[in-house]
Amino acid sequence: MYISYAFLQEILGDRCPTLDELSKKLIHIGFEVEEMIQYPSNQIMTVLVQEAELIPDTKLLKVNITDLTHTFQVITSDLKIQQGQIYAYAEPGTEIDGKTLQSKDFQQYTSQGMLLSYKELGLPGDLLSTSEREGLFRLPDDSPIGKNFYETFWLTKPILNVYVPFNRPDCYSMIGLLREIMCAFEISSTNLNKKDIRWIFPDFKEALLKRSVSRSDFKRIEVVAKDACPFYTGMIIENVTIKPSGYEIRKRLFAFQMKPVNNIVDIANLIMIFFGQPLHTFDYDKIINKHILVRYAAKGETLDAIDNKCYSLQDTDLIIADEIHPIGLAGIIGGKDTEIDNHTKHIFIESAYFNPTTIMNTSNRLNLVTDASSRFGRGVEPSQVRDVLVQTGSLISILSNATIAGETYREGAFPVIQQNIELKLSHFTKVTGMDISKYSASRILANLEIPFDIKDQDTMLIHVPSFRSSDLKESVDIIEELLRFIGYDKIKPTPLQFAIHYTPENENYTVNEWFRNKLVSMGFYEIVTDSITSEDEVKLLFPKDLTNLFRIDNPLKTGFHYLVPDKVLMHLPVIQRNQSRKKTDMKLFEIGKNYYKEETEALFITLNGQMHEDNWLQKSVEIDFYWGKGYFEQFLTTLGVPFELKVCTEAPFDKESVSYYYQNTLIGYFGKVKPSLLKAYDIDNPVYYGTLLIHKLQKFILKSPVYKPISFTQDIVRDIAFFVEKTVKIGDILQSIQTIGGDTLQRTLVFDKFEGDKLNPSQKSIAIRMYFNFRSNISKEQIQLKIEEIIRHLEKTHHIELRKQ
Amino acid sequence: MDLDERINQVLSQCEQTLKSISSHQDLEDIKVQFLGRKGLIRDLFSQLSQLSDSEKKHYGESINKLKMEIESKISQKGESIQSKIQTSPENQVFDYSLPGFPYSIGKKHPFTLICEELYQIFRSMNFMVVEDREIEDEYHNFDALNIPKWHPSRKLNDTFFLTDGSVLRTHTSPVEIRTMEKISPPIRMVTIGGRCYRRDASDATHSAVFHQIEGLVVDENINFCHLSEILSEMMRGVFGKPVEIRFVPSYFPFVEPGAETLISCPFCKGDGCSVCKNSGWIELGGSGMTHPQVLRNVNIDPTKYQGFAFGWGVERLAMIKYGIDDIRLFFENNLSFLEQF
Ligand SMILES: [Zn+2]
Repeated sequence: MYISYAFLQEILGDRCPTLDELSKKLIHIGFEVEEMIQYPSNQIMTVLVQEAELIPDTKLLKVNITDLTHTFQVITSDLKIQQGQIYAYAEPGTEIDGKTLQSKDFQQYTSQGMLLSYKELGLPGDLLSTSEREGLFRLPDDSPIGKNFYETFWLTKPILNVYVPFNRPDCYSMIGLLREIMCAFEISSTNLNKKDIRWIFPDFKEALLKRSVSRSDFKRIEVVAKDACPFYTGMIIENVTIKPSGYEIRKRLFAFQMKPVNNIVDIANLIMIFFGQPLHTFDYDKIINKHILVRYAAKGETLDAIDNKCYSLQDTDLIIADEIHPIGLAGIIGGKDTEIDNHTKHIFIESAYFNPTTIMNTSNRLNLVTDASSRFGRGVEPSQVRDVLVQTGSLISILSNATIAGETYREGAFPVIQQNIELKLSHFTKVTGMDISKYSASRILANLEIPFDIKDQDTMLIHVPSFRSSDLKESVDIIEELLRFIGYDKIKPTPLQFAIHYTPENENYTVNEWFRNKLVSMGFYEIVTDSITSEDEVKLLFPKDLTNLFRIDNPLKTGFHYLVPDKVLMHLPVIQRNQSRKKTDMKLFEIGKNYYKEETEALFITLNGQMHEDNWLQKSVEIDFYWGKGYFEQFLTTLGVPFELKVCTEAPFDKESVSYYYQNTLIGYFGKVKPSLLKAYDIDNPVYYGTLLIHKLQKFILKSPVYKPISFTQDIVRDIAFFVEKTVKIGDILQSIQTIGGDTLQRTLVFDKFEGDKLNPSQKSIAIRMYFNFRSNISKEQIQLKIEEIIRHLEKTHHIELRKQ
Repeated sequence: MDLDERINQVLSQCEQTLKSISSHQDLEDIKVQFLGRKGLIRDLFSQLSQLSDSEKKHYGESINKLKMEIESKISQKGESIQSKIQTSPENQVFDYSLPGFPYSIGKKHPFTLICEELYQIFRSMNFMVVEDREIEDEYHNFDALNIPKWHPSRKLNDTFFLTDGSVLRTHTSPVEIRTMEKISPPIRMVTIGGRCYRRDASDATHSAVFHQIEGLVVDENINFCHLSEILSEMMRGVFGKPVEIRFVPSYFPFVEPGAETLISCPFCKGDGCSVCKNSGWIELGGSGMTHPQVLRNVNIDPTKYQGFAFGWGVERLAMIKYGIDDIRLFFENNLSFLEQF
């Protein structure tokens, strides 16, 4: 909603708060000032054209103008200028667009300054009519002459763009905001009739109205959809003269930032903004059979609307129709067929109450939001529907020199439900933590025009006025009203009192933090990536079947339909972006979610480049499968997870990959990202990626450690080196060793692996170190026997060939 | 003695001698002894003249091989002597300024840093930390929160709808509902860094994906002033100094009275700076007293219990705290950005 400060001053007179007070207070009562629109202010005069004459053999006019005290001569190329018209004039010496205006000579004539176009006046083109944007900016013929242009049109003071919350439809109007402002500044409404039509047209006089009998050709208004339109009123005005609006109306259109159309539509628009009741005007002669129907659309019906678009209607859309076809989308937009044009003679004005849900549904479905739909969609004030119609009709008839034909027509009636709310002042204290006196509560309610009775010391009975019926429903709603005007800034911190008890940790959080801390200390950078990806990208992983994915019906960007099924699709672009910024060697991790069948939180690791930079102590090492795999295994080993390795069949990998299982459940996988995927993201060196379902490991992380007595003798370390067929998995050998070694065998280490030249091509050479814990209950000899048993077993099962030392 | 034997003997003699020496001077002597004009190699060559042509060829090659081997051994020994001299303690100069091994230590994302901080703050205030799903049903995301069917946030323009009819939660407030469905008052819960989605085109201050911190307290005697206390304690924790809390009325269907929450600018003490856009105050997000209808929806008696709640953007908080001017940086993962935290 726009509030013109000049207009507000006009209404409130010397009781009007200062601009600074006003904008501060509006925020404090819940109306954020989103913008302050300020027009340029300049010494620009309104002048009357006395004479306009073509200069022979040129395309220039010599124009004599007057400010009623002096006469000036200007030369202009705008040939439409005629005697009696009014324009904005800048004298020589005035600054226009940063340049100082000089007198100019054209042949023997001198132009003393110039008449201005809208651009030179600094007016926004989108708030002007087409003719106002062409050539010089012509003012209404009844504009005051010899006055400062900006002052005359209320443009020297700013216009506040105020945000109205959705639950306050009553404030989608000047009278609504006025009520709030007056309450905030405690301005008494004595001697101030907010609803006076003269705020819109000061010269309005009831006595000037012309009336005639009802038109005999008007059939009737028929409301078929009574649930969606409980109350409908209409009025016919005969013999209108269509023309641009005069000065008073044009000035107010600026104040409300409305674009002028003609003297009929402009008034309907101003009334809508002032009172909050949208109106629609139809060209009466274009209504077929003069029969107005308010009904739901039939499937397949369409409406050519005044925005030059054609809307296909559904049977849930409420329409206004004549006997043949829809002539308007009720409460949203009018039809092109019955639009008022320069030849319109008679008009039908509509004022109604439409069901907010019906209007909102259609408006949402068609994605069509208009000034009317945003008001009807939130609920208009039902009690003024007819009054506003009468005022509009009267004003139109005066300003278009027309006649009111008969009475107003009405169908249905708005059911008045008196809503009462019991408010206890002690409840106010309970909710806000502050006290309130009955006196200040009464004062605020009265200023808000909310009637009430006092029942007892603590209790008030509130009678909700119809204009607040949508947002005042229970006691807390009244409490908010009181608090708004007492001031939210009065709320001061007060310590809570509560029993102290132990609150358990969030276990997920503990798990995540455990991994984060470890990874960061191992040189990993944490990243946070988006969860929405495109169909093209998910198809890189799931070329055929997308059934287990989560699909967004209404994506923001075209094609971005999917929640990411595997974070690899989010991590590869991160690698690519950093590579393009010349960053290499990335060890990244994220704790986030995959969305495949279900939303699953997991740890994701991505590696690219080198383990560390080349340096004088050690040459750089390219990350490969085993360097990366080590992280996973060290985590699992450290946590004591008895895991198994299996062949990995996950989508992002080719051959070099592995899956981790715990108790036959997948707990993670790791591998080299397949080249086709890397190519799709323009990455040309290997990327390793893996995930660990860390929450499946929760119990290992949360488990409290149990101390085992430390052995004070040294560990016994034994190495074995052997040849074995390449097809034998080292993992299987290690497992065999561990099984036989039992508790005594602390750990094993593969410290050498060799394939090549001197070996049998089908074999590899492996060296394994075994760390035995030497305890008092086991002798060196027994360990020696164990080692021999291990070797025998390996020879038998895996056909190893022991290498000679 | 046969010549073959002699050749082997010369080689092993050379090896033995080389082993026993440790100076360049000794090495020079060995060079003369074996390779000199009167050396042992020359001596071997001179014995060739007495042999037949085929033997000459055969032994010539052997002696040449021997010569090359000895030359190489001597030169190797030279290098080894040189290196021994260089590394000998008296020739070592210790340089404490030579860089050590460049271990890399990673960084947590700034989003995590602020979440960890918030976790500590709320744990210290005895709050239970909870989490819940991102893929929500309309009931928990809207209806249970008293958000009417016509509310603009429910439009296709603002909320992502999945094919199965569920929504991507638009805020973390459904976690309040799910918590109240599970446990009865008194409740003191917070959800930290819950991922939310809005159909907002991304710019410096908007991102379709973002995270919220959401708090809820339900008890018998809970009021707006207590909310102010919790929020100011939380902000003291985040900024490490007292920060003033201010409310202005605002409309959120699930709180009544509802408020937009502001904090006094922690950087300029109200004088105005770029962070607070010269106003001295910074907007953080919604808060207020839980709407009685919301309590009724989860079978909590609003005549007995009252609650307060707040839900703010975590990125916004991090942006203020760390001076980050573009929310998109959180999701771009530019290493030059991540390195700074
Ligand atoms: Zn500041």
